[in-house]
Amino acid sequence: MVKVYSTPTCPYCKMAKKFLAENEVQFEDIDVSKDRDQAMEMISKSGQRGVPVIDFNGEIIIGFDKPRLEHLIV
Amino acid sequence: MDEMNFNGKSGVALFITDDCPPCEAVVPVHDKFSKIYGKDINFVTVNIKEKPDLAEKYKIRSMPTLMFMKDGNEACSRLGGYIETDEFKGRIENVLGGKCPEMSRQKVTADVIILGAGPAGLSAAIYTARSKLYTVVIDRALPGGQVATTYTVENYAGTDGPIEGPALMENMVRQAESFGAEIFELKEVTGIDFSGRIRHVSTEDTDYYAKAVIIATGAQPRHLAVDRADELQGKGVHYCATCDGALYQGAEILVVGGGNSAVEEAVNLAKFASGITLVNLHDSFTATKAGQNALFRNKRINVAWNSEIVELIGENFLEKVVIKNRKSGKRKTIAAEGIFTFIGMVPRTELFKDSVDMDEKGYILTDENMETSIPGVYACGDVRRKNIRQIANAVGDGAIAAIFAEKYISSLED
Ligand SMILES: Cc1cc2nc3c(=O)[nH]c(=O)nc-3n(C[C@H](O)[C@H](O)[C@H](O)COP(=O)(O)OP(=O)(O)OC[C@H]3O[C@@H](n4cnc5c(N)ncnc54)[C@H](O)[C@@H]3O)c2cc1C
Repeated sequence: MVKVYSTPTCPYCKMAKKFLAENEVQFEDIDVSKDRDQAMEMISKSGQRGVPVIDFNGEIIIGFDKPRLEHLIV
Repeated sequence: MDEMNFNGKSGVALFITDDCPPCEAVVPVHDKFSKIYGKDINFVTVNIKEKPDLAEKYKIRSMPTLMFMKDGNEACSRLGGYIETDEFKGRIENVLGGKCPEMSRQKVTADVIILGAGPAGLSAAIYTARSKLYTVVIDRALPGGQVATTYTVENYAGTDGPIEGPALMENMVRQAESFGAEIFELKEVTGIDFSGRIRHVSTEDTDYYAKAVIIATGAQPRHLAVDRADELQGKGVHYCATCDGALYQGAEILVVGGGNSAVEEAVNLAKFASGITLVNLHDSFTATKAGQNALFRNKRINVAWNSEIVELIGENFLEKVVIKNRKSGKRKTIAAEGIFTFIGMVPRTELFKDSVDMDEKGYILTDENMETSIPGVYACGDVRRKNIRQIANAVGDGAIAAIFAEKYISSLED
């Protein structure tokens, strides 16, 4: 399963979501500005307090890391 | 199965749209070749307004695009923009001769290439596209530039009250596209060659060619110059409040800087944080009075004047920050989970270092017409050496660059 931890105002989150959608990857979009528990989950999973964080079937990707996403999608 | 399958045979598909001069130029060539080569290879023309699904399926992002198929698979490289008759013919013969079985880099020929889709690049695109120049805009991110990371803009004319940064930029994108500008997003420009009469710009998968180039790559935030600042980036050290501010609900944070961005973003961050210390190097702000008033009214924000950050403390995440008063020399440790830094920008001009003239800070030098040291290559917006860097003059620069690019192109045709 793919989860995108994001905030509504963050441009890199929009980019990441757009990129996943274009590549026909289904994902769950989690707004961490609204959901504190999910925010804590994201921080503990990634060691990061910045968005986006993508949980790609267990692999944690920090930021909009296009090369890594491309690698995982193929 | 769709018309692109060609029953497993070879084919040439031309994707076009309405009101697109290079499309109108290539349609008769396509027709002519379909008469000459029609026996051996199939020709189809697809108007994407009628068949958006097909364009989506083959990820056709700009019009016109010529795509070649061999044995049911895409072959050779796509051609776009102004398509030369000889090159078109060469591709057909290569497909028929099996000379390019693998799909390779795409080639796009335009009138003007604009690097960067922030306010400066989009303003330039509005002008050149409206003048019927085939305009390609390339951005490493989504269009919008720095403004897409700004909560609200209050000082750009004509917005009828405060407007959200992303909304303002969506308007600019729509306006540029309405005149036919092609925006290639999520494509970083990694190579340039301005030496020839035809300029060449490349990204990971496409080569772009045009007579005139407009550089509008803007600037990025200057990083905090304290030990461990890079190590703790995203773990307490941040440069974009709209991105990460919401993760600091109820937290104590620091904001660094004294200009408009620092003062305005501190006020915005106060919606989330429980308390903010604004660390300012001097004993006054350079921000506007309006911005300062909003700041001083906000009870959650206090200011550490004449101060700088000297140490970051924390194991996996930022926990404490040591600040030093530059006048008294006194140090103070503050508990803070986050630092948002707004201490100016650095121009994104590495790529152009060896081609156009710059000042010692890397800002591109231009004349009043936005022309750089290379004729036909222009720079506009935050990348230029100038004293004020705002949306209003980025847009103004873009308009000027576009008008002179247009004059330059028509002078070549004389
Ligand atoms: C937090 C903040 C708040 C601000 N608030 C205001 C305000 O209220 N009012 C105001 O007038 N101004 C404001 N500004 C300043 C304003 O945003 C800038 O002056 C303006 O965005 C400059 O526009 P530009 O088009 O020159 O560059 P940018 O906005 O920086 O756009 C440059 C674009 O080029 C792209 N790019 C860079 N390198 C490459 C490459 N190699 N390949 C492809 N694309 C590339 C980038 O992705 C970017 O989209 C603010 C700035 C910040 C940071």
